[in-house]
Amino acid sequence: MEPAFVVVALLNLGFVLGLLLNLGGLLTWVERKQAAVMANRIGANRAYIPIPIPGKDGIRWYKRFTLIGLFHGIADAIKMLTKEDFTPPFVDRFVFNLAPWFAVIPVLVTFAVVPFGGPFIPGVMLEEVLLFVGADGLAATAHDFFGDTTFQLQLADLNVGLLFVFAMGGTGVFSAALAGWSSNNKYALMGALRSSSQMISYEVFMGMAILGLLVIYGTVDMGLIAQMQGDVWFGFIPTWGVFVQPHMFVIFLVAMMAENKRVPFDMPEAESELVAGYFTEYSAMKMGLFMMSEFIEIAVIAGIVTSLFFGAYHVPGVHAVTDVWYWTQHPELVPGNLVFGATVPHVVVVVMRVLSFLCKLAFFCWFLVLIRWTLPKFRYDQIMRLGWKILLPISILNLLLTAIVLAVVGS
Amino acid sequence: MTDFGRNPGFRNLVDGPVLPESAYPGEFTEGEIVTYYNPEKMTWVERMYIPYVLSGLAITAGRFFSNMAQWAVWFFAWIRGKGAETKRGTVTIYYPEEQRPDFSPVNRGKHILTQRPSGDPQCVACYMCATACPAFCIHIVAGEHPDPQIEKYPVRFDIEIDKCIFCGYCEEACPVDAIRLTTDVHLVDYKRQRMVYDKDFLLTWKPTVVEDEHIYPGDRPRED
Repeated sequence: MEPAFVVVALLNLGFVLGLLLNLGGLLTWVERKQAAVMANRIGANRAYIPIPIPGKDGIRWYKRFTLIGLFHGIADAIKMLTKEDFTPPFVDRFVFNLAPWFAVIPVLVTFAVVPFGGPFIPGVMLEEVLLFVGADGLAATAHDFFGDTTFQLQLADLNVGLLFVFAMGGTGVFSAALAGWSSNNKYALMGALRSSSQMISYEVFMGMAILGLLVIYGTVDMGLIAQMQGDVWFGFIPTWGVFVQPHMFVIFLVAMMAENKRVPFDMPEAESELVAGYFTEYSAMKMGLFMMSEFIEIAVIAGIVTSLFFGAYHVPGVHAVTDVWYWTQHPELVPGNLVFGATVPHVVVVVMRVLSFLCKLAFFCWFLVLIRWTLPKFRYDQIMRLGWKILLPISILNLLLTAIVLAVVGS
Repeated sequence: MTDFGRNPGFRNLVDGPVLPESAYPGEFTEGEIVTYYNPEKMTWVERMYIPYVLSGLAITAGRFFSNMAQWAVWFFAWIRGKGAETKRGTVTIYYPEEQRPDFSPVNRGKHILTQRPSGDPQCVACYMCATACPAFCIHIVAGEHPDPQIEKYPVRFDIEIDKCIFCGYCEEACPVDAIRLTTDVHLVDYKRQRMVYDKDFLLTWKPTVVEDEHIYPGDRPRED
């Protein structure tokens, strides 16, 4: 294995892990603060870092350094790490301790296939940056090290990308089922049953909903799907998935939200009925892992929705020299780094794309929190009826129609 | 007579007449009891759910953005030092540091014991206040005063301020004007034990003044 590949992979890994774990912490704050702003309140504002102020009569502590409540996430983490990790005597200890990992790891791993910046050439990029700074010798070294090879700003460029997402989503069921079953508690078991049935039903048409799009794209490789969204129709409509199949975007988002088990679909942990559902018996950081996975999953959902339906990292009118698919679609054009026709350094395009992805990600995180604080909870039979009787037939019908249209029109 | 589609009001449950359909909604006469109900069947637009979800999201998102805009306006005013008089995007306040502008200055809270010129409490330990107290939060232990003109004085005078309902009956009952309620109403503490105010504390009233911005009223110094 080349050293350059290892370096790029490690940097990608650091970026993704840093992004997800920080977003998970940040979203707990966003959740509180956004709910407050939507409800004309002030929201989380009390966690502070005390700052000593020396005075005449000894040290006084300044207690207003709250950074608009940002420390609440840290306070939560400290609280959950230092609380007593109580394991009830009646649980199945091994499975009980295993279940939180089944909650966190699939969620973290799912993001591996999300392309967050597209293909790029680190050698050229670094050379441009270092030449701009003025370190010419270093620039040559960097170029020699990375060469002109194209790497992906994506953790794992799997050719089964989307199937991997579904597989990991399916693994998420284990966490709820194992936690509820091993807790030896009726509320927990009830929550586990509900979450298993809900997640399995919604996975069915989550796959169905996306199939129409896959038929059009002809691949499940997330990196390739992202590249295919880099074009424009008629000069102004981006070829994003949402403009191809907007109705499927709604259905896919609903399915993903049901997988996330948050409020419109929070039957598994319905506080008013089941205490806390399948993690009733968990305490301290084990409970924290469940909560963390829930919040990270918001970011993951936002990432997947972005890369499937909202052009991933693409900004309309911005093309990199590495967009192989785009340049093969337009053989009359000369490959280059273009921003609305103007040639720019490669690094500018890459940075623009990563920022664009992050903006879209942030928007969808905001949108999911907005939905969570707007819609009331479904009843259990309503969830099942919505899934099996409405959304699944629509998805199948959509797949059929897409296939027929494609067969008639030709791809 | 049973009327299933209707959310029965109290009158209907007992013996009330089932109102004619024209009585819903709006057309009713003075003094008549009208029950409203949601129609059982939703229209197909309502059953589609999505239009109503979108309208709900529009309301909450609109509220979000309008509040954020107000916060932004407030932020720039705050930078210029005019934060206090600028409207924020909230209807709530930072409670201990701020108070509502319409908070009445005549609200009464914490008690004090008045003193004689000698520094002794005015109280003669007659138990009138403790008897009048509807919350049973005043506890007095009487002792014999050296001055025969005074007879009794309180050895202990405890008020469990967390039980007090601030009705002012003790003030009314007192024959010697020894107990009064002050305007100090922000009675907060981190320990329940410290919510029992003893005689010394009641005799020496230091009004809670937030002298430093960064000290909450709950942090006021007290000897345990």
